[in-house]
Amino acid sequence: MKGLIIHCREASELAVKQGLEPLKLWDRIRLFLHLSMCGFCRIFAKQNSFIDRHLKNLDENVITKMDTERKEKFLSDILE
Amino acid sequence: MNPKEQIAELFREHADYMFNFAITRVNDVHLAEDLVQETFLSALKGFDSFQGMSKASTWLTAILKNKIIDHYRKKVKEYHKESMEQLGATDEFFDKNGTWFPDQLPKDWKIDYDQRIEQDEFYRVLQHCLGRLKELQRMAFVMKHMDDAATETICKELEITASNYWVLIHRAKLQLRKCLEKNWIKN
Repeated sequence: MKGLIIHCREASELAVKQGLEPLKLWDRIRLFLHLSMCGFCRIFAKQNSFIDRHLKNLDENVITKMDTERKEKFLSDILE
Repeated sequence: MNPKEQIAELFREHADYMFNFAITRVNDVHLAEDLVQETFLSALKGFDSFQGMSKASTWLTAILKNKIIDHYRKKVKEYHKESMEQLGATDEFFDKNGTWFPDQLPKDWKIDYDQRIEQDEFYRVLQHCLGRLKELQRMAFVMKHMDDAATETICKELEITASNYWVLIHRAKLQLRKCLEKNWIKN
């Protein structure tokens, strides 16, 4: 079994994973211990969940619109 | 209104939403336009089966999602040209011991992380940063985070193992975070 102490690489991977599915108990403890000692990974973990939440809103924010000419062409093709 | 007119009406109303949806996932203007167009053509063909069964936007988005997955299925071999080691490598972020390199340390963005951002600028950068991921990464990422697909489904569609999947997602998130930090948090 792996030890309790993990480094930032593994901690950041666990933080990413935790946002998507439940972690095993040991991984939760490892992550918790690491985050309690590492401010940078705490920032990473916060930003990770911030990003996850906003990815869910991306489709509702229509920022790239379809080319108008292309739209007109499709409409005239379909209606002819 | 005949079906053609009704589809045209739906197109006027939903084309931009659908296009934005597609481009987030495929990062290619022409391909996204084609996929949207094919979606409405399929919708026209299947119009009888629809007839108010669900919300039109839900129905159209489901067709588009399938078209995007079909596209990925066809391309998946090509995307695998880039080896999994490259797609999952985190060497630029962490040293041999697995500690952040000094220039890669996450900076505090000095925002309220619980707040919901509404500015277009933020979403523009987010879309841009997703666009910079490699196809396989982006698709794994989007299927999971935005389309709520099960991990097994994603692994099957993208022909990757579960451990490769996590490696891919981890690196994608590291890159996306850094890209946001660089392009959205300017100071």
